[in-house]
Amino acid sequence: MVAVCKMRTEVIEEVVKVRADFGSGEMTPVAFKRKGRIYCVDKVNTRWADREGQSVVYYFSVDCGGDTYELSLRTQDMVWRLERVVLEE
Amino acid sequence: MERRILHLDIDAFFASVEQLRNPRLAGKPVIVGSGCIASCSYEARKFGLYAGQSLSEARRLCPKAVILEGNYFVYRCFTNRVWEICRTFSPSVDTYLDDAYLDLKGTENLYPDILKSAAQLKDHIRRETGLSVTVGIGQSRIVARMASKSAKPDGMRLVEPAEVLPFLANFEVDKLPGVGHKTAEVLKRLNIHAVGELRNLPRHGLEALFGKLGLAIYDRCRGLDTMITSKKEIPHSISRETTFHKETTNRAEIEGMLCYLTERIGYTLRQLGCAAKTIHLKIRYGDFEGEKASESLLEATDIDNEIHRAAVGILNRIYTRRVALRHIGITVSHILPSEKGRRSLFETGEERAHRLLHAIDKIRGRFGFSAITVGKAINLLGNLKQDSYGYVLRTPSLTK
Repeated sequence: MVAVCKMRTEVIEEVVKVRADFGSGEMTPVAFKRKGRIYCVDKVNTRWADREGQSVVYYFSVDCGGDTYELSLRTQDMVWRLERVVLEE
Repeated sequence: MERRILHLDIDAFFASVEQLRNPRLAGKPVIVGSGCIASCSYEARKFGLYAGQSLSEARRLCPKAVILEGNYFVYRCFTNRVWEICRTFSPSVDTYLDDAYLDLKGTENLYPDILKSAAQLKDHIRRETGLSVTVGIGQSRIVARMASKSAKPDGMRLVEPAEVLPFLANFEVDKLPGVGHKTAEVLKRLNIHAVGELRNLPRHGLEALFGKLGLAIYDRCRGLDTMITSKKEIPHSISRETTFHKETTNRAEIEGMLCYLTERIGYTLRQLGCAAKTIHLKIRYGDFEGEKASESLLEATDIDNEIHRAAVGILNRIYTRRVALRHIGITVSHILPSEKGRRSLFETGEERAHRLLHAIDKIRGRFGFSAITVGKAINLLGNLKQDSYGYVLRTPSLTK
């Protein structure tokens, strides 16, 4: 028997403030702030990198309080963005 | 020194990436696709789902499957990382959508225990990306690929030269690369169901049945590659198709997309050194009704404008309803090597067109397909996301 998995994805694409750890050659977001609320990262699910021209963009899928968020860091302007959120219904 | 090829195949690639992005999908039947399944997780395959199946059939077989449209620019990021890791393993890596061939010639001293080294490669890929891959190793691409097929998922199989014939013997004929549905039907009517049985047919017999394909099948059922690893085969046809992000009646957008898909085909034809004689166009309306038609040119061509002109002519004939389009696809067939198929190079206009196209191809080869936008494809600028590979389409286009 397969459990029904009802989820909703919202595209956000907003600039956010992020606190990150740097160590072992990796950068790991640990918390971010959006609209006055702080979200603590429980887990980094996966990460990947893309190129936009000469700039590298790092993407992180993170779990915070039961929901999954995707953050990005564009090295061209060193700005973090919240790209999307997957909410369980 | 024996030739040694490693075939690496990412397991349930698109679905696996989606399960990594959203861990709540792990262990669940996940489908990635629009209109038909592009990829499905192994949990979904237990319900009889497979790539290429229509989504309506998939929903019937597995109503609880999570269906996602897909994010192909994300998937490319993952494959780029996997291929980077493969290139640390072997200097010769031939990559495709979700699999690659690594030629291990010259690395015998680096990898005295090839299975141990391949296991380390798998672990490295899993640590870096979270993806599981299956590895097949053999003396030829055919054997390596069949080895990985037999070991899926998350497996590894080495087929030594002495084991090749017994290893291949029990595969069904339609599992042999190059043997499609129609070819398999002909063989089954001759009571040939397994690759081992196929070997009983003489070379001239297979050639009489299937032409050049028959000669290739003769070699492949013996585990022999039919070409040098780096040389591309001439395909029967080349297709480029996509579903629009939003259904559209905008003629500029439709012709822009048609122009872009034509450019991709023209680029591939020129890379293969080929030209095509027949153009096929298919469209699907928003109510899922479809139309298709074809046109054969007087002479085979690899010039984008000539293919596009024929395609627009077909579009004008078949796009007659006042209903938005959701899908468009163009296929070229009757593909010949350019030397045989093309008109004389002494016609000035064509020579100039080829010089221009080859210059554009060189720029795209170096700086990415998006480096230059040509003709009506410019209508898509600003409306579609672009990366270095080109416009990010809603559905990936595949060569058939």
